[in-house]
Amino acid sequence: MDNFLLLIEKPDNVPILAMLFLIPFFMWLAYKQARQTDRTGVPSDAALNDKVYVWPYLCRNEFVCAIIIMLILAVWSIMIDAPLEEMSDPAKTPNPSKAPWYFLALQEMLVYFDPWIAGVVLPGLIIVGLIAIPYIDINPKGKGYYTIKERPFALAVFCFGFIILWIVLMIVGTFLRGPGWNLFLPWEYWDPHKLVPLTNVNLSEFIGIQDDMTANFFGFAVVAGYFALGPIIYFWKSKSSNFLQELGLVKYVIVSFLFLCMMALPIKMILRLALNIKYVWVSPWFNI
Amino acid sequence: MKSKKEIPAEKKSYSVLFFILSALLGLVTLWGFWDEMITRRPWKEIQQHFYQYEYEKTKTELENAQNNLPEKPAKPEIDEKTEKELNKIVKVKKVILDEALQKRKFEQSKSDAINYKYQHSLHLAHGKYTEEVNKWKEKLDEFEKRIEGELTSAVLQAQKEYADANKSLAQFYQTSADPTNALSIYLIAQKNNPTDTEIDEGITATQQALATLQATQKQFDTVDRLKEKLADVGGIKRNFLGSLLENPFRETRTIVQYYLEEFDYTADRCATCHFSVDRSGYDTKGQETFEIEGDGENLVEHQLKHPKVKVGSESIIIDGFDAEPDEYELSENGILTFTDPDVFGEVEITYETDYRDVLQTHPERDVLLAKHPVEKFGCTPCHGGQGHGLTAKSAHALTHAEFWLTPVLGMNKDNGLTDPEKKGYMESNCRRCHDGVMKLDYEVDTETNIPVDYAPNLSKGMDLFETLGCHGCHAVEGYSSLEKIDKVGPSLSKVGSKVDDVKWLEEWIKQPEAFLPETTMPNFFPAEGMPQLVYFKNGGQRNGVVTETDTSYILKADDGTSYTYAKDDVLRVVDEVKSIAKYLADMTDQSFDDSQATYSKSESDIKAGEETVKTVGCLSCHTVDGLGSDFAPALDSVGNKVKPSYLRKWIENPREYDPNTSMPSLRLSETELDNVVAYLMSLQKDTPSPLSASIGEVDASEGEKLVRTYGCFGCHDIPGFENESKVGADLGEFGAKLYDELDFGDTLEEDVDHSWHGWTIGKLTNPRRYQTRRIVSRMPVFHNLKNSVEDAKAIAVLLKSFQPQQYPLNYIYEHAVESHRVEKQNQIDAGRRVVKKYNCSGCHEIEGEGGDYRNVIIAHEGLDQITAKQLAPPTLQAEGARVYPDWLFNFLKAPTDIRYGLKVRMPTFDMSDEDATTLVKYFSALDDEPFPYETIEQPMSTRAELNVGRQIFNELKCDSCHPSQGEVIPAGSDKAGRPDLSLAKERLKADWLIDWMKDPQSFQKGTAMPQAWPLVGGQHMAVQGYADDDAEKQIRLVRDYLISLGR
Repeated sequence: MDNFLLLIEKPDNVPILAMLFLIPFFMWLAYKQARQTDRTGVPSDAALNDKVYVWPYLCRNEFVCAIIIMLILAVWSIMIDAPLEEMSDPAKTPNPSKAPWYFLALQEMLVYFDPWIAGVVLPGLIIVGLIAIPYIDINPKGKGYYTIKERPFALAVFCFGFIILWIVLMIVGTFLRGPGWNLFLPWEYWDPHKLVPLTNVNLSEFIGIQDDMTANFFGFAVVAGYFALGPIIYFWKSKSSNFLQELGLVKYVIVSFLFLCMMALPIKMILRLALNIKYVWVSPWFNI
Repeated sequence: MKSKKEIPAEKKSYSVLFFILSALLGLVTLWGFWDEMITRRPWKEIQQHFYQYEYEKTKTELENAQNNLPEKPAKPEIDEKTEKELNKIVKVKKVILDEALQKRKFEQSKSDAINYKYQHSLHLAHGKYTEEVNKWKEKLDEFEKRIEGELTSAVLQAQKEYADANKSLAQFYQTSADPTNALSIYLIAQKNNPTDTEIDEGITATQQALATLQATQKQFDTVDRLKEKLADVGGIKRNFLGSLLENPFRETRTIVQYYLEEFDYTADRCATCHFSVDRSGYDTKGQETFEIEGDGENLVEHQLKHPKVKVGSESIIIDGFDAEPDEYELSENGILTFTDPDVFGEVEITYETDYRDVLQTHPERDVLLAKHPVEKFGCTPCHGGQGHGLTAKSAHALTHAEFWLTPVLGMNKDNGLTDPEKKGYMESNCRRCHDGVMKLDYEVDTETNIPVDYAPNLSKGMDLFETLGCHGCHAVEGYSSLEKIDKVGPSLSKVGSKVDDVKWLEEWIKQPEAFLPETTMPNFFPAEGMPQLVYFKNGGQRNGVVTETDTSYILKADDGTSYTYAKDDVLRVVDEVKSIAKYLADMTDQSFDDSQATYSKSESDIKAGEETVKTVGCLSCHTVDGLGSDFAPALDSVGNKVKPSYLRKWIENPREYDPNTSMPSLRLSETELDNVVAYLMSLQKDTPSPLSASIGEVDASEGEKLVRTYGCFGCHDIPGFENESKVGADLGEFGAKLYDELDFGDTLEEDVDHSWHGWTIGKLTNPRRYQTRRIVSRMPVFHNLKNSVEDAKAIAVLLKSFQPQQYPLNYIYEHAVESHRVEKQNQIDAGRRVVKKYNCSGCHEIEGEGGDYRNVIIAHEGLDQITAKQLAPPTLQAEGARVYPDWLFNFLKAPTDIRYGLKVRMPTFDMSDEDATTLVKYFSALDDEPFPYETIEQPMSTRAELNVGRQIFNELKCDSCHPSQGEVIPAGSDKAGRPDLSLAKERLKADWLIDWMKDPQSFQKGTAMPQAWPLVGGQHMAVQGYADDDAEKQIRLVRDYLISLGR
């Protein structure tokens, strides 16, 4: 536990520590307002017309905020020195080698995927997905006020993708990943000599396929089947679901692809942690 | 749109919030300033403390200077009227003198012109004296007569008068107390009249007066300087705020930075806090001697130089007697008060000062910092640490984990104080510039003439590393000493012919210290019981002590764990010790192997052999009956170990058995050899046998494999293992290993401190300590390290110096200093290695060390110190100054007798030319003698002079002690042990002989050679009646006579 206390005292970790409190707070704030809106129905005219002048009402609020921020920054800089480290030495890399805190979730993905997926494809998809949001989110509701009822799907995806996959993994990467990128619980000492048994197997081996070629085809089938789930559900449900009909086939396929990619990470994590599965699809050129 | 009033946000007043926040912001801003100026600059307070000390010291110094101030010298009182008159006379006389000089000059000029005409006419007359010629000659004579006569005497007269006038003026100044003017005028007078004694007297008197005046003036100048300094530091010494108020623009507290551009751009700011590290006067210890005299009424007070004194640490001697604590009182600010008002005499006091630790002067500053100026060397290259840090924590960087650079050496990381346990590590960085030498003492103490070792721990570590043969198994990249040394163990190529039986070998291999407690041979099998190597049917193997049951083997490994194996699984069990012994015992040499050889067992022969062994010089290296030295193995049980045939051949000529041995031949006669063998074979002291029951088979081929596994060839020459690489790890970067790079095995924190220091000491004292079920350790146990943590620490200091980072070339001693100094160092170092190899200092005292053979003579023959010294091997102090290099070279190669009637002999080492030359160079370098070229002063005395020399020689009865050539000296005679003087010519340097005869004691303290020309009042007393009673001349003549004796 001493080790963990030492860790959270580190100047590097101050922003993450702050994030630990700030994110729940803002989540709670948004949830509270959304619930109020949902209870009273669509936002009333009164609420929509509740406007004040920028000067002085907004400006003085902003000024107070500025002073508070300055106070915090001044105290912070007096109390805690910049976390500079030694000059880099290619012969001696630090252990653990950690990315900046805002990239730690990406680094965490490297545990479960090959570098080209975790470092190139998935981050690329995240950016593409964010760019695509205005084109695929056609729901006009919920602008300028908080609501849960009117955008359940969008909200659920955001909460899972950002809070769980991004922030939590960041915190795990900061506080629970020690030397050798091994997992250390808060009360454990960060021992550089820690060894974990290396007993992971591929999915094909797990179900007993020994032949390389068969395993290759099997992996391809599993991955293709996983991504085919989207269209299958569309054709199965589109008749009965207004949501799907409004979305249309093209938008639906894009959304489902991005969604399945996102879900691939927790699925892979569960497979690894629960069943010691290394790769689903092993081919001579790449592994997934 | 709603009106303003209805909007709730408008009604709220923010003024209280604004006020509180602004006040907070203001406070935080002030806090920021405080943090920046005070909290983050802790050195300001330290520097202020320094200025306070400086103020107190200056004040004390000023008081002392003022107390001893003499009366202010009187101002010259000059009667201006008289001065004017006298000056006027001088001027007049000067004019007269100038006129006389000019007149003579002009006449001289004219005479030159006439001379020309005379010469010219003579030329025209073709050398005949014509009338014309005669006319000019007469004229010339007339002129010259006048010039030399009246004109010159006029000049002389004028000069004398001018001198007299000056003298009067000078005397006037002298009486008016103005020696400066008086002296300069006197000097003019002396120039014009050098014969006047009054003037000379005047000059001496004024010079003395002037010296007194200047000395007094100097004292006053000192006072003025101290006053100025006091005013200066007085302003600074006040507190920070006070000095700001006094002069806000005066920044007196600064960061002191040494920027070492050539040393990896290091910036060392240590002197910011260690402010007086390069200033004298802040030593930890003070020592003063002064005179006191009480007047019988008042108490006598004395202010010590250091105004901060640890009361209770002092020891005071008054007139040679220790002072009792009630005789004086010492206050913390250094005032010593004597309770007895009548006290007088010379007081000697030593005490400890009480300055803050951080403000102490660097220890041995005058040597260490003078050789390594801080501007060039900074601090961290020697001390380690994070030099740019400005707080104690970051500058000392006591953990690797938290800081960039290495922790400062020798410090305890828990309390940040110097740790006596680890203080030696401070020396480890010395080696990184001074690599490849045995000691760091090439600079000799100017007073005692003995080299001072400034890195004793490192030197000891290097010595142990080489003596224990660590280099046999470990390579060390960058440690160049290892290139200069050989394997430490004897050759095993014929060991089967050497040792008596294989059982002895087994016992020796199992536990060497059981047979020879002082041996450096380590123990490879420290566990109780016979070690076995178990081969399994599945291909694996494991070693340990094995016991047997009906169906299984129980193997106990070195780390204490037991394993049980079914007999069915085991392929074979091999006894390690016995297999190695068998493999080695098969190495024989038929020419040595004569087991039939007999040796005498008669009491008288043994007795005679004992006498030889104990007198001829064996005990300078070996020990018998507790007498002797432990350089070579003790001989008490040698009869149990070796074969007599081997022993005889070995003693007769050791090189025949082992060409690389440093054992010399003592040129024993056949009878002596027989007796010595008889004696040595009779030495059969029982030693405990470490062997116990063993179940394994004995297999020589397994023995060979084990020799390879354990790396026996690292220390011993073994045929067939010439090209093996070292079995241990390379230690080149060991010193830089972090604690998490070291394997602590199963050891607990309470057993072994989990740090570099703890690991290293643990490994050295018990090398198998970190062995586990998986990691097998084969490093043997060195019982001398096991029993001495001090030795282990010394080796750890050396190990700490094995760092990957190379220091820049222009910091490395060999590149940084003048080549002749490097050459001298290399010569001395190489010489020391040869001295160590052949154990020269077992017999001879060299560089103030060794010569213990004298004690053997004292103990064995019951002689007193002085006689023993006479009969012992000579001291080799100033040997380079004494003897000719070529004689020394030849002597080392083939020793001859210089002194007769001695029992101890200079052995024949069969030294290579290289070793002999190295030794000759070594002695030359020690005494700064030129090598190989030197001027030899050839005495050039006439036969008559040599005769006088011989007479003095006889008068002094030199031959009553010194033997003549070839004289047979009975033991116990006065002449025993005195050098044969007929060897002087080829052996002794001619100018050294003179110095020696003048004062023998200055070369060899305690020598029996008398001082024939005793020194009285700085002059040597002559022997009456020879060579004009001139001692110097007499000594020279005796010297010449000695050289004329030469063969």
